[in-house]
Amino acid sequence: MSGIGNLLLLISLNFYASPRYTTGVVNEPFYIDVTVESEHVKNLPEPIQPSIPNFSFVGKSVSTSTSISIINGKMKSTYTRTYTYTYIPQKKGTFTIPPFKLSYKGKIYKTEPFTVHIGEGKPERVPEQTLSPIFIRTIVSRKRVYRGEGILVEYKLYSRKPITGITPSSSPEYNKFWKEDVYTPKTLSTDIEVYRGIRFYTITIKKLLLYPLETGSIKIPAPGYNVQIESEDFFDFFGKTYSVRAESPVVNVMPLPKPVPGDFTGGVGEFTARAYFEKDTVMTGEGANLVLEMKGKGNIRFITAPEIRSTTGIHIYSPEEEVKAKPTETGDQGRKLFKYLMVCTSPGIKRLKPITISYFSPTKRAYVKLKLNIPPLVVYGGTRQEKKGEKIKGTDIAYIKTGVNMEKNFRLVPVWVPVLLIFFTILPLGMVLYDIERRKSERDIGYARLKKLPGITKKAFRELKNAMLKKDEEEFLKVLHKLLLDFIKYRFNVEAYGMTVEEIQSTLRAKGFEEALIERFINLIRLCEERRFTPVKEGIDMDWLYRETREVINGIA
Amino acid sequence: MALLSILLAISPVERAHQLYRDGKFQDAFAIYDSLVSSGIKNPYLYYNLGNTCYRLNKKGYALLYYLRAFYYIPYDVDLRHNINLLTGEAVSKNPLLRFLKKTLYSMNIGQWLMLFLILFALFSILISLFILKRAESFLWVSLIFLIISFIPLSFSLYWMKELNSHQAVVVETTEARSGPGENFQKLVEFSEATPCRILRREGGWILITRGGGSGGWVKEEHVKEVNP
Repeated sequence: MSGIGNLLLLISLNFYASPRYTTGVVNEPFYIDVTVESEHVKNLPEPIQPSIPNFSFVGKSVSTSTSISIINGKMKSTYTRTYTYTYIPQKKGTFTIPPFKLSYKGKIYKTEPFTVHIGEGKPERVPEQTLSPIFIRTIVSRKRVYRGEGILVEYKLYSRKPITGITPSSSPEYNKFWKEDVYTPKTLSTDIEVYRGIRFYTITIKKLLLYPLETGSIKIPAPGYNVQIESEDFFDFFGKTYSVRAESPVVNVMPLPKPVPGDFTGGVGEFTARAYFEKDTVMTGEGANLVLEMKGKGNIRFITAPEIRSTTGIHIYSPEEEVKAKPTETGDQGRKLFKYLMVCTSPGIKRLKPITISYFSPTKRAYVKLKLNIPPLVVYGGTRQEKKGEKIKGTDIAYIKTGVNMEKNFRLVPVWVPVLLIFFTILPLGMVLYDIERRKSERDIGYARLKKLPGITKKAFRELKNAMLKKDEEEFLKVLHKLLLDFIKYRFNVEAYGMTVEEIQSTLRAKGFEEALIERFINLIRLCEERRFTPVKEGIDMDWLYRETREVINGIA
Repeated sequence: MALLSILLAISPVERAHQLYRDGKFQDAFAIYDSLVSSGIKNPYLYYNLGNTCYRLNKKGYALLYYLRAFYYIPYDVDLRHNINLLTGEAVSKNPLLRFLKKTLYSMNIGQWLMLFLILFALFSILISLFILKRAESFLWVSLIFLIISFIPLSFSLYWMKELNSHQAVVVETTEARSGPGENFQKLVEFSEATPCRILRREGGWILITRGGGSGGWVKEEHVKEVNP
C-alpha cells in the first residue's frame, strides 16, 4: 500500500473509551466501553488494557457492528468493534482511569483518561428510564438578556445508540428573534458524551445566534428532526428512524434601561468608533466620502447611521451602509461602515462638529457615549478638469527643489535699498535748497559777492603761500594787492579796483571799523602799491605780511 | 571604492535630496533641519524641509516651513500648491481681488521695494531736473513716476505688515482655553496645520486668534511663529 493510503487509514481510525456510568459502587460491576471505529478497516486489532489500581478485572465482551449511512447522496460504511471491560471496584473514592492503548500499523493510539466516582451503597444516578434514549437538547448561552443582546443557541442530539443519519422534519419561525447561523455540520460526526451519568452519542445539529426583537419571556423555537439510529435487527439495513423535537427553553428578555440617550443608534454590545475621509482633499463640487466606522462585538448589524446634517457650503447625502462582520459563538464580530457622501460647494477647510454615538453595554449595564472628531476636509476652489487623454488619480505635494544653492543666505531686503531710498528722498530737497540759494544770488549781487568772498580769500592765501615758498616777492605783492582789493569788492559790494586809497579808507570808516584796523589795512595796500610801482627793490618780510594780512582781513570780515 | 568617494564628495544638501528620492524622509529631514538650525535662511531649504515634514506626517511643521519660504518666494508655483493643499485657501470669486493677490504674490517684499526704489529714483532725478531747468515736461513725467511708485510701495507695505503680524501655525492639534492655564475653560480645538496670529504671550502660553472671534490660549509648544 502506498504511503498516502496508509495515511488515509490512520486518519479514519477512531479510538475512545468511556464508562457506562461515571459513578459506581464498591464490589458492584463497573463497565468500561472501549470502541475502535474505522471506515476502512474491518479486522480491527484489540486494545491493550491498562493496569487500574483499586479495580479488579473480571472479564470482557466484544460486539461488532457495521453501519451504513447516506449523507449528501454519498454512502458511508463504518466498522465498529466495542470491547466492554467489566471491573469490580475495591474501595470507594474518585479514581482516574488511565488510557487504553491500541497498536496499529506501527502507531500507538491512546484513549483520553477519565475520572469515575466509586461510592458505597446505591449510586446517585439518574435512572436510565427517566432519560429518553434519544433527545435534542437546546443549550442557550444566557437565559436573561437585554433586548438586542445576542444569545448563542446550540441544538445537540443525544442518542444511546450510534446515529446513522439525521434530516430536518420541521423548521420553526424565529419571529421574535433576528437569527444568524453560526454552525451547521457538513458531515455526520458523532462524539461520545456522558450526560447526567449516562454515556451518549452526540451530534451538534446547529448553532444559532439569536437577537431578541421583543421583551418579556420568549420561548426559543424548537426544530424537529428525523434521526436514524443503528438497529440491532440485522435486516433493518438503514436502522430505526425516530422523530425528535428539540427542547424549547424560555429566555427572559429585559428592555433597555431608560432614559435612552438621543444619540443611541441601537447598538448593544461593546464597540469602538472612528471617523475619517477616504480622501482628505477635494475640489469644489467633487464628492468626498466621510466614513464612520463602528467596530466591536454585539448586534453590529442593527446599528443605525447617526445623523449628520448639511451645513453652509457642505451638502451631506444619506449614508451607504456596509457590514463586515461574522457571527461567532461570542456574538457578531466585525465592523459596520457608514459612508456619507459630502459635496462641498465652496472652497476652504471644512470642519464638521464632532459626532456622538451611544450604545448600550450589557457588561456595564449602562449606555456608553463615543465622541468622534471628524478630521478637516480641504476643498480647493475651481474644478480640476481632466484634459483629453488624462485621468486624475489624486493630489500630492510638489516635489522638492534641487539644483539650487541651499547653503546661501537670503536677505529679504538688500542693505543698499534703504540707503538709496534715503538718497533719492534727499536729492529733490537738496535741489530745492540749491534753487532757493541760486535765486537769491541772482537777485542780490552783494549777497552773491559775499558768498564768493570766503572762496576768493582762501584761494588768494593759498597763492600767497606758494609765492612765499618760491620766494617770489613780486608775485607775492601782486597776489596780496589783488586779495586786498577783492576783499573790499566782495565784502562791501563796491568796485574797489577803481577806487583810491582814501576812498577805500572812507568806505571802511563808513562801515564803523576801528581806526587802527583801517590804518593797518590801508598800510598794506600802500605797501603793495609802493613796492609794485617803485623801482626801489628792498627785501620784504613775506611771513610778517602774510600774518598781518590774515589778522586784518579776519578783523574786517 | 569609487562610489564611496563619490558619496563622500557630495554635499549634505545633495545627500538629503538623494535620501528624499529614496523615501528615507526621516534621514533627509535630519539634514535639512540641521542646515536650518545652523542659521541658514534659504527659502528652497525651507521648502524641502516642509516637504519632508509633510511626508513624515508633521503637517503643522510642513505648513510652518512653507510659510517661511513664502515670504521669500511667493511666486513659486510649487510652494503655493503645497500651501493650498494644506490650508485649502479659498480662491476669491472677485476678479479684481484675484488679480491683486496674483500681483502681490508675484514678488517678495525686497523685490517690491526695489521696484519702488527705481520708480522713486526716476521721480527724484526728474523732479531735480525740473528744479534746475524749470522745464515742465520733467515735472509731469516725474509725477507720473511718483504715482506709479505708490503701487509697489503699497505692496511693500502690505508685505511689511505681514512680516510683522506674528503669523503662526498650530503644529500640534490643541485645545484653546479662556486663559493661560489648564484651569481655564476649554473653548475650541485647533487642528494641526491651522494658520493663526499670535496676540500675547504669558508664562508658557500664547493667545492666538484666527479672526472672527475664534481664538484662545494654547500651550507655547503647540504653536510656532512663522517669522520668529
